[in-house]
Amino acid sequence: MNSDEEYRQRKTEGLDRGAESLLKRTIYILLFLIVAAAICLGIVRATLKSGTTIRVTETQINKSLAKKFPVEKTHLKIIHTRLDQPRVQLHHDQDTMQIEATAQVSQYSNRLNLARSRSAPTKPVPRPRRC
Amino acid sequence: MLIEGGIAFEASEGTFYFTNAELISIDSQQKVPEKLREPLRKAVSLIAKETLNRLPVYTLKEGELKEDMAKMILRDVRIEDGRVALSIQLP
Repeated sequence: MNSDEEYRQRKTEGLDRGAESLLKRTIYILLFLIVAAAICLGIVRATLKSGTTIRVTETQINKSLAKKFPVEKTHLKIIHTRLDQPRVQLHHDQDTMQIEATAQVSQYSNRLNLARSRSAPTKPVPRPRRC
Repeated sequence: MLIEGGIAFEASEGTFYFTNAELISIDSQQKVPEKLREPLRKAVSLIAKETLNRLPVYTLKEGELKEDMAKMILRDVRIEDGRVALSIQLP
């Protein structure tokens, strides 16, 4: 075997070893990720199996509700209402919720310009002239 | 005015709704004549029911693991001391 061939063989072996170590490293990383994911899933499953609770406080509800107010509505084109400043109270003994709010009730007709809805004044009809 | 009702949780939307609204009391700033009190109470009660029934009061945050889970595997909704408690548990 001449030196040129030896050199080529060594180079090929070196490349093979490099590829092999890269493959091994990838497999180890994949295995680590799989084990980590399994542990995480196990923890989540164990937590959910034993049961967990999410708590939403009155303050959180009040903040959320404040964004939805004031609520204005007109009923039957007669009454106009405006609800504002809501405050929520939670009563655990009755499992109920109370909303305290200020309500303004007004006649919707006050807002309408009724004069405009009347028929327009007609032009006076000229009387026929007698000859 | 004070309105009482229940709370319902719509799991698909992750939203709490105010339900079964009932007028408890009215505290009027203006003096209402005696004979007008009952009709006014009835009118306000109707308006309050119409306005507040199915009013969304709170929506769970998107992207939080626990809150997303609640939409899928909710077991129970109850009111504790000043809080709404959502229990989630795998079957």
